[in-house]
Formats: sequence, structure tokens, C-alpha cells
Amino acid sequence: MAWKGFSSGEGLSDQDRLAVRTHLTRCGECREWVRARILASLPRLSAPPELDERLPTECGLASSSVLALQALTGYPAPSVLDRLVAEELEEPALHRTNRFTDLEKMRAPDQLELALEHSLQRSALVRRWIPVFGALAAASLLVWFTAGGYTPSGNHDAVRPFEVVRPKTIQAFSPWIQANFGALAGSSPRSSRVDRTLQEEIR
Amino acid sequence: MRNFLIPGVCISLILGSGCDTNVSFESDTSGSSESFVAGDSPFVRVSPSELQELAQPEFLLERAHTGQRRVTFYDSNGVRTSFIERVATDGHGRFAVEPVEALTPLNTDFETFQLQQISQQGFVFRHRDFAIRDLGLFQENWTLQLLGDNERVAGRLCDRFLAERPGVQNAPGYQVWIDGKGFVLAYRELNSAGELLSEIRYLTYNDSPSQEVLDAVYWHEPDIDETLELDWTQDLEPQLNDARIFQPRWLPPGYELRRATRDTIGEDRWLRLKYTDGVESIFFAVDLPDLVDPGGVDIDTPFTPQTHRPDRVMVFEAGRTAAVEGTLRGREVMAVGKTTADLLLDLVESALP
Repeated sequence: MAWKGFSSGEGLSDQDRLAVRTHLTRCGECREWVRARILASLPRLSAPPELDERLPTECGLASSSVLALQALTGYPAPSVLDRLVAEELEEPALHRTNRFTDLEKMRAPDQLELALEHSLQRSALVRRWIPVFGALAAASLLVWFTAGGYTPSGNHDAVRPFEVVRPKTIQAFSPWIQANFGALAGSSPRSSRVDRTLQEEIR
Repeated sequence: MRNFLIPGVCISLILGSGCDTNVSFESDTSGSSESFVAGDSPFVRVSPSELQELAQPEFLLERAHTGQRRVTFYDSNGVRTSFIERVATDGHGRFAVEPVEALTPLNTDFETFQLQQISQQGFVFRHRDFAIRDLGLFQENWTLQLLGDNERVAGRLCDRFLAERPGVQNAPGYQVWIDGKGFVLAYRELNSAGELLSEIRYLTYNDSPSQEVLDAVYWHEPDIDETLELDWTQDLEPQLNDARIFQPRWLPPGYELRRATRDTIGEDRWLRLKYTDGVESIFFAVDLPDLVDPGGVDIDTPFTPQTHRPDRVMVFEAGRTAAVEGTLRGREVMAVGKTTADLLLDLVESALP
């Protein structure tokens, strides 16, 4: 390793130091290695006694807890934990699912089941009739627009926005109607005093 | 009386010129055109497709002919009215139709009946009889079926067709006898139950009347003083000086507007609209406001007893024919056609603003 002894800078010429600095500006890996070596070489200092006294008060911890924390040493995590974490990170969804497979299966309340069933039936009905209603609505719209907004009744008892009078003969009508009606229907003339009166009244 | 044919001379000439054509027919049921011989003059038999173009009222006006035909109307009790009429065309657009003999008792004396029929002859000639009045609509709405051939009417060999409107409730059917020139020599109108409603049949037919015969005819003259043809494919109001008009927005299935006129009769002006399904016709008329003195009531004015006469119409129906007449929004409205009273009322109601 050309960089051995770099942290102390021993045995390096000025030219080598310049070369190392230049490399460190470009290589992140070496930069991290150097930083770790520098931190490891620093002398370990104890916290001042005043800090130990004030810590429980500032953090609201019992003095026993502080002692327990102080007793902890840097135990490494077991290797199996590293493996499990690595596996879970690799397939998080699978492991999340596996964690819940052992849970006790609970039965849904009857009321919920009933409500769900009705909802499904309604949905099925809606799904079945939506095309029918859609087609009917489209047809109605088509007729509506074709008819310029008028819907025919075709009904003898339809309520009309005008009074409808039904004379017994065609004689109540104007000559133009009589002539045209007679030509189409082959009717022969008949006189009706009542209908003539009606004609006068309406015209 | 101007519409009468000259009695005596004309009757004898027409009767004397009855068709006596000796026709030999080379049978063909394939529907294709084929020559056959009528006397010394060969002519072409029509196929159904050609027939659709030929059997139109205008076709009749383009050729001179005279003839007599029996006209019979039926009701549930059998023959209701039957008479013989004579008919003539000069090939230049003129025509005349006049009854000459009653075959059944009438509700009035024959002269009155004759006068009434003559007053209707324009409508009789153009609209009473079976004809293909719009080829496109006929093809859309009607079917035509060849029922037979070699059937003789007024001495002429004819093909017999059945014209029907499938898919329409209570639609009529027509049995039609048509000669090799596309001339309708007879037809029977049947209701949906197959019952006979009317029958028209040529008894005599002459397709080459002499000039002397034609000169003796009193041709029909319309009672209308002035007719302005409107472009029915365009908006009508701008063509009527922006007069607000009633116009049906709903029609019985298969019907479409095919003619619009502004007719002046005396001092009255009318908008007349003709609708057809290819064969049958419906007529709608509404009086137009006085364009010179626009003092009439606007059709959009809300109804009050002070501004309008009451909205009221009469309706009458007999057989397959219906008529509506009345006053709506202060305008006189009329409609007549071969349809039901309820459908005609629907049509009139749809015209209201």
C-alpha cells in the first residue's frame, strides 16, 4: 500500500502528499478510509463528572437507568440478525405477509356479511341493467332530439295543451279539410246542423 | 262549373276510345326488362326497381291518356260508396277527374256529389291513389313483392305487386296492377287484417287520345291564387320574411317533409307542408301572419283570454283517414292524412312553440 502511514504523514514526500490529496478529492472510498483511520487514532476522553450528574435530571431518567446504560458496551449484533434483515430488505412484501400468517382468523359479524351480500346483489343488478338503461336513455335522447324536444303520446286519452272536440261528421270542418278528407277516405257528403254550428263556433 | 269535362261529346269520345290493345307477352318473371309487344308498338316490361321510378304521380302527368275507372270504398258492412269516374291527362301537366255514374246510393243527389268530387279533383288526382311519391322513402319504408303476371286490366297485361310497410302496426298493404309502361291500372288497399278498404280499377284506357278529345276536356284549375314553392330542405322562417311559424317537430315513423309552399287564397296566406312515407301523405297547414300589417298576435305571446281565442281543435277519424282543425295560439291550424287521429293530434301538438 503506497498510502501506509498516511495518517501520520510519515515517510511521504511533498510530491506524494500532493498526489494523495489529489486522489482523495476524487476517490470517495479512500476518503472514507482515511476519515475512519483518523477518528480511530484520536485519544478516547471520559465525559466530565458534571455531565454524569446532570444527565439523569436533563433526560428525566432514574439513576438506575443511567447506570444500566453506562454498563452497556458495544456488543455486536448476532450474525443471524444481519441475515434476517438482509433477507427482509430483499423481499419486504413477502416477509410482511409471512409475519401475519400465524394470526388467528376472525369471523366477520353476521350483520357485516349480510350488508356485503346485499351490496353485491345490488352491484350485480346495476351491472346487468346499466347497459339496458343506457341504451334506453340514448334512444330516448335520440327520439327527443329528433322530435325537437317533443314526445308523442299516441294516446287517445292524452292530456293535450288544448281542448279537443270530436264532431260526429266531417261537415264541421272547413272546405279544404272536407275536400282532402273526402278524397282520401272516399266519404260522401252528409249534412249536420249540429256540426255546422260547431264549425261556426270554432272558426 | 269550369272544372267539368264537356258532357256528351267528351263522354262519348272517351268511352269510344276505350283501350282495345292486343298484347302478346313474352313471359319473364326474373324482374329484368324484356320487350313485349302491344299491338304494333313494342314496349318494355318494367322490373320492380324500374317500377319504383315510374309509378309516381309526375309520371302520369308526363303522358297523355284518357280512361274510365271504377272507384269503390268499403267499410265493415261491405261496399260503402262506388262510382265511375273519368280521368284525363294531356302529357303537359294538366289533368281532370270527374265522376260520371253512381253505382251505389249516395247520401245526396248525384249532381251535388259530382260537384263535390270535382272540387276535390286536385287532391284526388295527386293524393288519393296509390303512387310512389318519394322513391328514397319508399325504399326505406316499403317492400315490393311480385305476386303474379299476365293479369289483364282494361285490356292491358299487367304485373301484380304487393306493397307493404313491414314493422308498422296497422299498416296498410296495396295490391297494385301495373302495365309494361309502369302505369298503375288498378290497386286494392287492404288493412292489416287483409280486409278490403278501397279499390280503383281502370275499365277503359287509351294512351293515345286524339287532340280533339283533349281539347274537349275542362282541365283542373287550382283554387289557389298564388303558390310560392319553398325550399323544404332549408329553414322555412327566413323564406317567409322571418315570420314565426308553427311547424311539426314530431312525425309518425317513416314520414319526412317533402314539400313546403306558401299559398295565397284570397286575402289569406297559408304555409302548407306535405309529409310522406313514400306512399301515404300527411298535410299540415297553418295561416301565416299578415306580413303587411303585422298586427297579429305573436305565437310566443303567453296565452290569456285577452290575447288569444281559446286553444281548441276538432278531430275526426274515419277508416284510415283523420283530420284536425282548430285554433292554436291565435293561428288557424289544419292537418289531414291517412293516419290515426291520435297520431295526427300528436303531430299538431308538436308544432306548438
